[in-house]
Amino acid sequence: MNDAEDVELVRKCAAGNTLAFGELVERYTPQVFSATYRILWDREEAADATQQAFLKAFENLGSYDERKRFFTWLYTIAVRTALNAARQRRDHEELDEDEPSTGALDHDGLESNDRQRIIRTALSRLPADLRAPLVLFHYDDCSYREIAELVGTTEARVRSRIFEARKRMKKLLERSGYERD
Amino acid sequence: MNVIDHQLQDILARRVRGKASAGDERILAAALDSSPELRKEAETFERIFRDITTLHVPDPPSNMRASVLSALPGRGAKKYIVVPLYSHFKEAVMDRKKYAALVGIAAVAVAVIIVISQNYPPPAGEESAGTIGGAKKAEKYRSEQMGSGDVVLKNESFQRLLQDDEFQKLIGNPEFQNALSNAAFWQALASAELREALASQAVRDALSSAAVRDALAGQAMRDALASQAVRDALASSAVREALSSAALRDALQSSAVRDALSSAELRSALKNAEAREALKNAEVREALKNAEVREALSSAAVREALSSAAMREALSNAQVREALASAELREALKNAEVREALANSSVREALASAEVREALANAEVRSMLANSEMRQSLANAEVREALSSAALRDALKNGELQSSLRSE
Repeated sequence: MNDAEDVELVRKCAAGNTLAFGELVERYTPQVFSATYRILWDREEAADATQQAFLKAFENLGSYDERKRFFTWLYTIAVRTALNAARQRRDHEELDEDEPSTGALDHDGLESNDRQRIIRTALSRLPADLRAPLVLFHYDDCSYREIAELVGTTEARVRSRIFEARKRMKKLLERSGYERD
Repeated sequence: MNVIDHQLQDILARRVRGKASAGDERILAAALDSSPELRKEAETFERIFRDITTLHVPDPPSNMRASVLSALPGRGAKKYIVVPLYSHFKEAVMDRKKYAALVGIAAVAVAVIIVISQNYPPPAGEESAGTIGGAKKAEKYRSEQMGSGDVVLKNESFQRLLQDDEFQKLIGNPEFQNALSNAAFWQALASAELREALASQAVRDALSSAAVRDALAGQAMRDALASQAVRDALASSAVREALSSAALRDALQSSAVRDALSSAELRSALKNAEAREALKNAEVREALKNAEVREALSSAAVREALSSAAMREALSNAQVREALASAELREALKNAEVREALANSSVREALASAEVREALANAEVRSMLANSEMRQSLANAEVREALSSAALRDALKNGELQSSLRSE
């Protein structure tokens, strides 16, 4: 992907060429979808958020600073859009202390697919404001500062949220059969 | 009780990424050596972090570009805020049961539109040289008036086109005029492939079709013009020849065809010579006239299947084409399980095998496909897997087995 090409396409969009925007959509759909999916963990909702993110980007093209990478700008929009969607959904379940463990397998006894499923389930049960920083840190390899900019908060808050998210994840996973003492 | 604190967690995270420094390792070792309990907990965190980084993310929807473009302000929607979300867009698309989308037909439709646009207004090429010459002359010698002799259209077929009643009606058509105001439409005009397509009689003949005019009203058709795959397809003689088919033109009357053009899979299929050649085939064209076949093409699974090399190759096979002409197979295509099965790589691979094709040529096997239990079985992973087995394919050639399957 070429930044100069992106800027050229953005200029064409600004001049009313919507096809140029289509080119940007085609170019960045995989990354934007991946970002929204990893916050929402639902394909349909991630697709909705992806579409919304592109539409927001289109509407706000005038505020895009050409000196910065277009993708970084778009990625921020995508993360915030997905985060808002996740907050609105309120699908997370608070940790239920009475919930029985669903399995007794230790980590080595689980197939890769099982582990994936358990991890995904646990992630989806975290509140969005904990889940997003956690995923951005571990999956996207973002720094605390980058995450703070992406989600619009302070580094200190990001740090404490990630710590809390890890703690909850561990607890959820221990009770799901992912890991057993 | 010892716990892995924030600092240690971050070191573990860096370790998983392979970014832990020597200093990190020293701090970690010092902490973990002091407590077996802490070491166990550290191992747990390390596993969790590693598993998070390897979580699978599915592929994005293939028609995101179309869904975004269709929702942009001024493109059919008032404001993006009130535009349906992607999932609703997809449902809306899937609900259009009249879809008759066939890759070739769609390409043909686009070709026709492009061809029309190429001819009117005339491109700045050889055909319009006389006019340009006259204009230059007029600029140079302002006192002179441009006479009829200044306008010389060297290409006779182009002249005929301009004088053609149908073409005159076409350029007077509001939908066509609307299309002319579209950016995608004009961008397409810059394509050499499209210009070349204009030279084809089949393309010109298609201009007289009312379906072509209707197709011009569709945004999807315009978007398709921007696709290189569609333009390349127009350069293919097979596609041009297909344009002369009434069945293909008929298919253009369906909105399904237009919307299908926005599908990346169909465009991808158009890149393939076998898919283009298939359009020349009478059975394939006839199949396109069939409601079940058209409806099947509205299925994302079927479109996806069309983009696979195995499926395209299968379409180039006479037995598979012949099978398409059968009522049983068309009926089977109405079924969701059958469509889903087509999206499965094992099933596609099976279709590429001579044995399975041969089996499809058999009326009993087709009849079997019309059976609901058989369709459901296609949804079963083991059955699909079995189809990729050479032994099973070979068995399908066996007449007795075919008969027994039918009786079941």
